[in-house]
Amino acid sequence: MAATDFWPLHDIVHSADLAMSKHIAVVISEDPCVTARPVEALRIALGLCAGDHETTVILLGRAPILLMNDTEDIVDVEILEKYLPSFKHLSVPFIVEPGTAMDTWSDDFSVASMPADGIRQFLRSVDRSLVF
Amino acid sequence: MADHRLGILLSTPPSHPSVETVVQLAEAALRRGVDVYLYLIDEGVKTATDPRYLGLIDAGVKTSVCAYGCQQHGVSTVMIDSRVSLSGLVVLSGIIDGCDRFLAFT
Repeated sequence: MAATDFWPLHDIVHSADLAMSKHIAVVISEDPCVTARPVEALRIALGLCAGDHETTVILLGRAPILLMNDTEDIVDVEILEKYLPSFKHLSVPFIVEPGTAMDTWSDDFSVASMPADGIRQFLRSVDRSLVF
Repeated sequence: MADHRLGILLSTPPSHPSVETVVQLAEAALRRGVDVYLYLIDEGVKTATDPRYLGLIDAGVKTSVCAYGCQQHGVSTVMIDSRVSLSGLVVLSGIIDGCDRFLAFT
């Protein structure tokens, strides 16, 4: 028996009342220059975008540098560079806090500014949230 | 409680307190008859061979581990229990779709 026969995916997703796209927020607040987790969080977000989910990425603290041109200090930057073009092509929505310094490179992404209260309300409104 | 499904995502290393929290949570859910789906990702893949998590599999937790994460973190898939599904993010997406409760321990 194949390992995947243990619990076929269709057992989960074919539940008529549950299987529907979800609105997901992926919140990244850790420093990409300190840990690889922000880049991994973006990889996860992209994977969820590839399904039917509406996925929004919220970048807090130093995390907005993930979308900037000067990325040489980012941990796992070579992995990040593989994924970023897909975020542009899919127009994945990003949210940052007001006053976040972005560069012209970031203009290629779908970035919106939202105050902290708005972000809190947004997170309450989504079906699922993943916080890194 | 029949037909209720709990999805859990774990991305922290074995030393993190969330690892034990997930064990306790999953066991409590199973006791209430809830189907539990566990997805191990990032450093969470290192718990795939943890005896506590093997116990969860024995108890009925349907466990999936991120194959990419295993590669990134040097976890040999040969050592992983055959009942664990080596998966990609499409499975996580399916768990998010199909579970009426989802908790992320990141």
